[in-house]
Amino acid sequence: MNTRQWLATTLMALAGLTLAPGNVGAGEALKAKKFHFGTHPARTNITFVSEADIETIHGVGHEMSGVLTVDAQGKSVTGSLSIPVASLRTGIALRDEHLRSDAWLDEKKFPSIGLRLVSATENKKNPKIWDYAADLTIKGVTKRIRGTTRVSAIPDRFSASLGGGSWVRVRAAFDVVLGDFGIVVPQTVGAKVSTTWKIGIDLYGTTSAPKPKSKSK
Amino acid sequence: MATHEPTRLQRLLKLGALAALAVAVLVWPIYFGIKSTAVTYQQIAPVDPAALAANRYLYSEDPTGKDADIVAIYGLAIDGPTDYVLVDEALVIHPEEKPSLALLRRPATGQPLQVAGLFSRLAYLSVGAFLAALVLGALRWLLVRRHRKTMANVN
Repeated sequence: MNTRQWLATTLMALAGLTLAPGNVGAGEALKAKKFHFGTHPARTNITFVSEADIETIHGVGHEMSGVLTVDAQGKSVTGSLSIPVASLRTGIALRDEHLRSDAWLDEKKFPSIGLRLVSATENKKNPKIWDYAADLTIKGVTKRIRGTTRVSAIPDRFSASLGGGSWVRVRAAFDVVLGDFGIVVPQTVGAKVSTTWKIGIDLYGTTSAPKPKSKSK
Repeated sequence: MATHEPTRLQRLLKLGALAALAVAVLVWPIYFGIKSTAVTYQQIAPVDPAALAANRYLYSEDPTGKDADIVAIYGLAIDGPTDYVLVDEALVIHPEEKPSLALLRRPATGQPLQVAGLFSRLAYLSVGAFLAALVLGALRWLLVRRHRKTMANVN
């Protein structure tokens, strides 16, 4: 190998190291991309936990739709996500019915829970963490929430196995005070249902737009 | 001459009260028996194998060794470590990154049985059975009392 070839190889290796996913912030890897969420149930995990005196309810949901767009500089994100109330499961069918009833989430009148990102910017100290503010809408009531979310760009070498496109993983956790959204826990179930629910989300977004669902004839 | 023999209804009430009392009491040894088999797991909403492989790679880039980061390879932790009973072993994962961790995959339907959940259900059952025993016993007592009065008047 002559000097010129050695130099070229070294420079390419250095460039490869610099661009490796572990060495850049998620924002750098996600510049100007539109990510679709809820394309795969096993990559859409939403959990809600109510810890009361005599019972802990562990609920899950695996449905969501929405798009988040990262700006050209990879420094901010906008977009909104929607979770169908009917998709939330607590593990007991009767309890799910109660959850959907008008006393709780009133699924008939308010079929989805909305989360609209107002701002999301890469944390200056830790590029894997993003600080966000979002408007959370439950039962027709919108409240601003703020927190941090963990964003991981998934290397493109996993693209084929994941189903095509570039992928990103987004994780966040926050608390929801039911009373803030006009949901009053009846005294009769006060020992079984907490007034504050812990929410967790673990979502995988892809730049590959989901195929439109064909209408059944 | 009329007899003081209990009627069929009285016998049924007595039997029902004793059976309800037995249920109210016996649920507790059953509860403690089941509870003794409890194992602590961390329940997760699992990801599919393709996402798992990607997560494992991401973790290998920054292997912190923290339990939370290892759990996150496999899915979203629903809650902290919790005691469960009658768990389907097929749902249990011991991460290769830290085999001492015990994760419990959330099944597609239903939910794993928590010790706390079992306790609350059995407590309701026990209290309900005890109240039923009281009501049935009181009814029988009233019937016996009325029956005796009737017999006394007849005799």
